[in-house]
Amino acid sequence: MDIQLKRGLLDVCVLAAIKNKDSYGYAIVREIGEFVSISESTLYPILRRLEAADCLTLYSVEHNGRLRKYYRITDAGRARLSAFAEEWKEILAIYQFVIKEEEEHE
Amino acid sequence: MNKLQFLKAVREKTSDLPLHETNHLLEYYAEMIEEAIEEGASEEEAVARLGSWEEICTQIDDFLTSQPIAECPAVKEQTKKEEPINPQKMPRKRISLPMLAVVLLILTSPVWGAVVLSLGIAVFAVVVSLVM
Repeated sequence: MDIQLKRGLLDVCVLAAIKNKDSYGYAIVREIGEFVSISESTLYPILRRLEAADCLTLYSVEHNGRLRKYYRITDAGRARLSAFAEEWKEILAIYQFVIKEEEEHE
Repeated sequence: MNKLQFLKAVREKTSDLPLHETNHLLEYYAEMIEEAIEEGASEEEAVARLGSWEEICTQIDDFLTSQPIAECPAVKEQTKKEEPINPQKMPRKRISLPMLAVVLLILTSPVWGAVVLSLGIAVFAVVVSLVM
């Protein structure tokens, strides 16, 4: 998959993973990992970028005598998810068009 | 590689970063290793799960060079606000608009010229008839 496209998709995947409840790094990797290949080291720059863009905030919670960082989606993050959903309606329409063209040429 | 060796390697790799960035990165990886150990992995397995060292370095480099994402609405608003005070764009617009108006006036003179001329004649005629 194209690197830029995958990067953009991973951004929204992470936002989607924390959309309904706050989550922590390890759980996010497990959750998204079911759909796209992602490692702990891939997640780091994504989280930092989203944080820098105010799409999420983080806080620490004590867990088993250590700190676990939780990520919470912001309004800007939610806006980005809605924008993504809108964009993909267009992309889906284009996809349908491309597939139709290909089928007609077969 | 065990946890300490790994974290030491990350610290060396990121020695050019501001201290808080390095610490942030170390905390992140330490947490990931702890989580995997809690799930039953050995320290070595937990480190191996993070990906190859090469991949980790690529990701760190990627983070160091990448800017905050441009599409995020919050960022978009900021760039929009900055646009009106762009000093290079404003003066050019001020000069070109009146010039454009003058050129258009001259070019369209056959259309409005006749109207203005006939109005002028009418006003002159009225003035002359009043005076006489």
